[in-house]
This record gives sequence, structure tokens and C-alpha cells, in this order.
Amino acid sequence: MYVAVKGGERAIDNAHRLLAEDRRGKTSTPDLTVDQIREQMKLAVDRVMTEGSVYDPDLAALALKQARGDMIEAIFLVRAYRTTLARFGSSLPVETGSMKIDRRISAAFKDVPGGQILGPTFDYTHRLIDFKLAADGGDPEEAISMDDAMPQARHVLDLLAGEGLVETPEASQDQAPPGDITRTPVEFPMDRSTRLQSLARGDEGFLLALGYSTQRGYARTHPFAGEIRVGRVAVEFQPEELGFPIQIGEMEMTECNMINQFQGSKTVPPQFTRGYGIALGHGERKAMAMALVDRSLRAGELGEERTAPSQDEEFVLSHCDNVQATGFVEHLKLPHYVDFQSELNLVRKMRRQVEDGIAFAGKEAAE
Amino acid sequence: MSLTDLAPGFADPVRDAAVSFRTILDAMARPGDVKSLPVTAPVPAPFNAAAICVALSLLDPDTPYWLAPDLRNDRIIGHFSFHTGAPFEADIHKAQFAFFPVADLARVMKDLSIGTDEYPDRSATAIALVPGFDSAGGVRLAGPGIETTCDFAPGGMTTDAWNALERNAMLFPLGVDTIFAGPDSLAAIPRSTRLTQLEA
Amino acid sequence: MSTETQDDGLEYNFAYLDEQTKRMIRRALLKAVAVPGYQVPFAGREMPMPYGWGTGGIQVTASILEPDDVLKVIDQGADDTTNAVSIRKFFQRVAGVATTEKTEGATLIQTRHRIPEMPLHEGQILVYQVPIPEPLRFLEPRETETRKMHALEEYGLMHVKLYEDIARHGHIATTYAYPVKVNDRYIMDPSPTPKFDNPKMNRCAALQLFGAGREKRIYAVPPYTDVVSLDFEDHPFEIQAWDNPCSLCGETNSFLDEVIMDDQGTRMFVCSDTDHCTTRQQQGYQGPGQEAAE
Repeated sequence: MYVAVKGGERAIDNAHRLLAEDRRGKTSTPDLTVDQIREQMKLAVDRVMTEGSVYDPDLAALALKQARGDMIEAIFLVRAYRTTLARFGSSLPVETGSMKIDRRISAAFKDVPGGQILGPTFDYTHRLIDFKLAADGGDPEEAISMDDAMPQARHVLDLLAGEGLVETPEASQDQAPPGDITRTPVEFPMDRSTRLQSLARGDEGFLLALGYSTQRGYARTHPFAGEIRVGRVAVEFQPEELGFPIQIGEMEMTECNMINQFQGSKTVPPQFTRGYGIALGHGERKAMAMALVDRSLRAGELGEERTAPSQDEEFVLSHCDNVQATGFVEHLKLPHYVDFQSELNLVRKMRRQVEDGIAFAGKEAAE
Repeated sequence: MSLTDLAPGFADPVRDAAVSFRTILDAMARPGDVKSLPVTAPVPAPFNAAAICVALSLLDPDTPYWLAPDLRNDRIIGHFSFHTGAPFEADIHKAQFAFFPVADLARVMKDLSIGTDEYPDRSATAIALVPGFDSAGGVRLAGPGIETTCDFAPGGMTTDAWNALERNAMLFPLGVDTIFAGPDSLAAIPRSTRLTQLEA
Repeated sequence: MSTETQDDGLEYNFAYLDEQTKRMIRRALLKAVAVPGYQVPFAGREMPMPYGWGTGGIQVTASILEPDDVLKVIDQGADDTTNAVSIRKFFQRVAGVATTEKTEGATLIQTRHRIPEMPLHEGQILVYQVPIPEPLRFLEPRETETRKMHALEEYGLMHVKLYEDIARHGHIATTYAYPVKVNDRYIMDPSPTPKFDNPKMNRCAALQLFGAGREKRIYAVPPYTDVVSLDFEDHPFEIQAWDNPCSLCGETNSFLDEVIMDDQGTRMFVCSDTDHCTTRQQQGYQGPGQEAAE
């Protein structure tokens, strides 16, 4: 006799225990500490903060530990935690122009006031596996420290803006309070601040591929890395009752200003336009990809013909969130047997009709 | 006005807001069906208990609200500001919620936001303060939420007021949704409800 | 009762969501009820379950739940499927509400892909988990366009699609998420329920609420509201029928799941609504599967 399967609850409990065991791995190896992840897996932590939309390296490191290194799972954990946090207010806009710089490069100029600062980068490393790290790598050689006097420098693009060669962001956009995609329903078309917000928490891989596609000719934007800067910015908050801002902390951020060629239009003379990207912590790839896609999405505003996926606002912004994407893709694992049953019945019915039809046609032919 | 003048809000804010909301939802889903308030909170004059319940359950810093001149005083504005954080909006066109005595209904309905074709949800919710629900005459209601018909006769409604609600219903799917707030109960007429006026 | 301290030391607000989020969702729900079948955008929050697992339904449930509610959660009609168990446990934990598997005794039923076989009554609310709320989405992928189509009541495209089905197959080839027209105005997606369940939505005594978390939409069908499945005069809407009764309870008028019994592909059919099936068996009804076993 058939008995319907019961015991979902026990199965779930046990799955959770198995997951916990697998997460820990062999207990003969030492347990990872959150400090270790924060200090030694920094770029993973930074990505989790950016796409999780919370600046908290300890929390992101913990999420990575719990997620067994699965980035999207860790991002999801941070996002779900974020929604339970009370909101006390909004900070003032951070001033990236007065960033204390760790790294700052411009590919558009050989030298710029304030200098090119290479900082910590993989760019000129030879990608050779360093087997010394497999053994106890020991402490690295000391670099020349800049900690005492982290330099500050104006944005490279500000230097060009004076000549009118590069567009200046519209003042009206600067004044309007930015939208908040976590508090208000998304509406298309989106204004730029809301769009940038979506891109900032968007999936690095997705934006990378889209940005790449613009370079390969799908909505080519002729980009130059006007400036990439990584460093610490002050976060200021102005309590209503105080009437003046107070600094509540510092955040590490990565900012990218792309310069893109623009032929000009009926109303605007030829000039360079901008694409903008930003990430929490150190995230150059993300900031650059974001800047490319941002510029591409400005097609409508700049009167360019929309021909490629990267220019399609609804397409890009509806699909750039990896927590949403992974949820919907992976939900296919959930039972769908009611829907499948419906389709099964339909396919059987249609096959019967086809067979009857063939039989009927055969009979007709024989007559 | 100082903090000591403030009347308390809900005794148990989380629970009381939950049960009050369910009553409002039920009222909106069953137009004309008069629902007793499940809880009451202290009522600063000249409000009534149901209107306070609605305000404490639905207002927050994202919802500008408007008060009819007769209901507008520092005590009420301070009360709402402290308990909900909602901003008072002097321009009725921009209000998401409007509170007024039922006598003002016909006048107020003209000015409230009815939403847009693409976003009919961006319309105002009207809260009319009524003395009770056992008046003579009234209307016969039909439409979503009503099995056959439902007779509804809140106090203080005039022919003009019913006409205003009939006109509102003709705007569907645009229009204002109205909550009738009494001393110990409430009822609603959303824009989807059709009205026929009855002889008094 | 504002906060519940949990075994793991974490404190959450009643029903998990913070009060401001609940208020936002509650306001959206009132507008949804006032405009039956219209999809109200809401600022959906990230929940501790993945998108696609019912985050919309969960947010709606969390926002309407009161401490005295009796909650039933079903997935594919069953109370004991893993996701139903997981969601039920979540609300037991964060809201401490009573739960039941009995359709009759529930005040609030959250469902994925089914409507219970037993007619619902006035005191009940049915909350649907919705993956794609926009019935026109597969005809027109752009939100800006579909929003216009709803605004103008321009539904020709949908009729064309259904009619193409008829031209090709001789009948409408949509078996679940079958589009309906609500209150003679908005075309609505009933969520991926089988079309077998569509007639139950029409003039249902219970309030029906729909939550789509990833797509951030809420919509509603008030009690006793007309819900008409789209069809054509010469091709009227019809529901699925099975050649066999339920093997366990003998029911001939319920949605049946097909169960493959062995490697030879022997099949049997059982009610997808597990509460309906067990209730009938307790009442003494037997299906052919039970008789054969005796």
C-alpha cells in the first residue's frame, strides 16, 4: 500500500546538521577565525560588503565563514541581516575628493597633480602560484608605509572639467535627494542615482560581462580609465537637533571615473562624458565594470541609439541583483509537481490527439 | 507643547497595531460591514477612537497626512509626530491620508489624490470621522467584498456627500478609498464599491 | 510580546519584520484590496529565505499576522513538503502563533501552487506565494509596456496568445497560472496554481492576498469578487479531469498527483491536498489503492 511520504521536518533538521558538519570540514584542521577571514580574505569580504550593502568587515567575514566561502550566499546573509537593522538616518554624501588615498591611478594622463599612486595591486604581479604560501609563508617584507601621511588629491576629471572638455554632472541631480531602492519600489525609467544604487549592489560577474560586451562592440563607448582611486573617506552625520555634521567613522571605498568619447548632439557640443562606478572596500573590477555599464545606460539621456543589452535599462537593472537571480534560478529545486502534473496531462492529451489524427489520416488515405 | 502633555499611543504598539490593521483590512475587504475596534488608545480631542486607531496603525515617516481645520491643532500634530513620525501636510493634494469630520466629506473628496492610470494605488485614503453607524437612510452597497448587497448608514452623511462617493466610484480603478471612523467601530467604502442612495 | 528571544540569543520583532516595513506592506495591502487584481508595487525586503521560496507570501503573512491567528502552510497542496515545513517553523519561531494542518481550523493559510479543495469560509485569509505576478510578462517582457497595457485595459495581446493556442492545438494550452479577469477590469496571474483551482477563486468567501517578493508586487481579490478565467465562446474554459479517483480516499473531484510506484513505471493517483485526503480517509472513504491492499 502507498503511504504518502512524511517527515519533511526531520529531513530538514538533519540536512542542517550535515551542512554544519560539511562547513566545519575535518575537525583535525583548526577552525577558521573571523579575524583571519577579515584580514586575509579581504577582497572577498569587500565584495560581500558591497553587494550586501552593509559596511561591516566583521559581519561580512562571519557571513563568508557561515556560507562556506560561497560569495552569493554570504551576500544574501548580510542582506537579510541588514533588513532587520533600525535606520537612524542618512549620512551626508561622502566626499571622495578628499579621500585619504591608498591607490590612485589615471590611464588618461602620464602624470597628474597628486601623482600616480600604485598602492596594493595585482596588476604587475606575475601570476605564478607562490608555493611558499602553502608552507607557513611567514611575515611579508615590509613595504614603505604611507600611513603617516595618506595623500589627498582632487579628482582628475575636475581638472578637465574646467576646460569644458568633460561634462559636469547636472547640478539638479546633485541637489535632489538620492532614491533608495531598499525602501521604495523600483520604477522604470529610473533616475541616475537610483540606477547607480542598483548597479552598486549588482553582481560583479554580471556587470563585468556587460561592461566587457561594450568594449567588444555591443554599444561601444570608447572608455578611458580617467581615474581609479582607493582609500578612506570620512562618513559624516548631521543629527537634526545638532545642526552641524559630526564625523562618525571612516570607510574604505573604491571609485572609478571612466571618460568616454561623445560625438555631441544637437544640443551638446562634442565632449567627454562620464561613467561612474563605486564599491565598498577595495573592488576595482566592480567599480570599473559598473562605470562602463553606467555610461552605456545613459544612451537615452545622451540621444544615442539603443542597440545592445548593456543599454537596456530594464534588462540590466532587473537582472543585476544576484540574490534575486540565484533565488529564482535555484527555486527550481522546490517541488513543482502540481504544475508538472498539469503539463503532463496536457502533453498526454495532445499526443492522443496527434495519434488519433494520424490514425484518421491513415484511414482516409486507405479509403 | 511639551512631552508631558502627550497622551500615550497604543499600550502594546506591536500587538495593537497588528490587531487594528486586521480590523481595517477586514473593513476594506467587506465594504459597509461595521467592525468593532479590537483595542483603543487614548484619544486627544477632537479625534475619535477609530480615527486614532487608523492613524497609529498606518502612519509613519513616509506618509504625509492632512487634517481638516476643525481637527487641526498642535496637540494632534504633536501626538502623531511623536507616535508615528508622520509629517503633517498642509497641501491636501499631496496628502496620503486625510482626516476630517464627515460634514467636510463632499468638499474634501474633490481635492484628494485619485492616483494615476499607471499607478492607481498612489491615491489618498480618506478618514471621515462619524458619530456612529445607525443613521436613517444611507446607501445600498454592492461590488467586490459584498456577497449580495449591504445597507450602510453612517451618521452625518448628506446627499452631497453620497453624491461625492458615487462620483468617486465612477473613477474606478482610480479614486479615493474611504474609512468611516466612529467612536468605537469603523467601516470602509473603497473605490470599487457601487452605491445606490436609499430614502431616509 | 514585542520581541521574542530565541534559543540562539537573537531577538526579532513579532513576525520578524520591523514595524515600519509592516506598515508599508499594510498600506499596500489596503490599496490592493481597493483595486482588485491590480499589482501594487511595494518595497519588498530581503527575507531570511531565498527569493523564489515564498518571500512575497511570507512578507504578506508577517504583516497581517496577529497573535491569535492559526496558521496553515501548504506547498503543492501538502502541509508536509519541506518548504511548507520550513515556512511554518519560521512563523512558529518568530511569531509564536498556533499552527494547524486542518484547512477548516486555520484563520490564515499561506500557499504555494494550490488552493485547498475544501471551500474556504468568511473568516479566512488565503495568502499566495507568487513568482511572476505579471500575467502579460511572457507576451511583453518590459514593465514599462505591461503597465501601460493594464492602464489602458489593452488586453488584446493576451487573447491573441490564447487564440493562437486554439489554432495550433485545438484548445488553450495553458494548464497552470491560467490568466483571469478580476472584477471585470484587471487581468491577473493567479500564481502557478493549476487551472483546476481557478473556479475556486471566483466569488470565494475568503480574502485572497498575493505576494511576489522578488518582483515586489502585492495584489488582492476581496471576498465575493468575480474572477473569470479567460476563454472564448466557442472554446469555453474547462478544468482538468482524471480518469481515476484518488487511490487513497476515492475522491473523484480533486487535483491528483501522479506517483510512480516502481521501476516498471506503475502509477497511482493521490490527492495533492493532503488534508483533504486524510480527512476523507478518517471519515471512512477508501480509494482503490486501499481496497487492493486489504
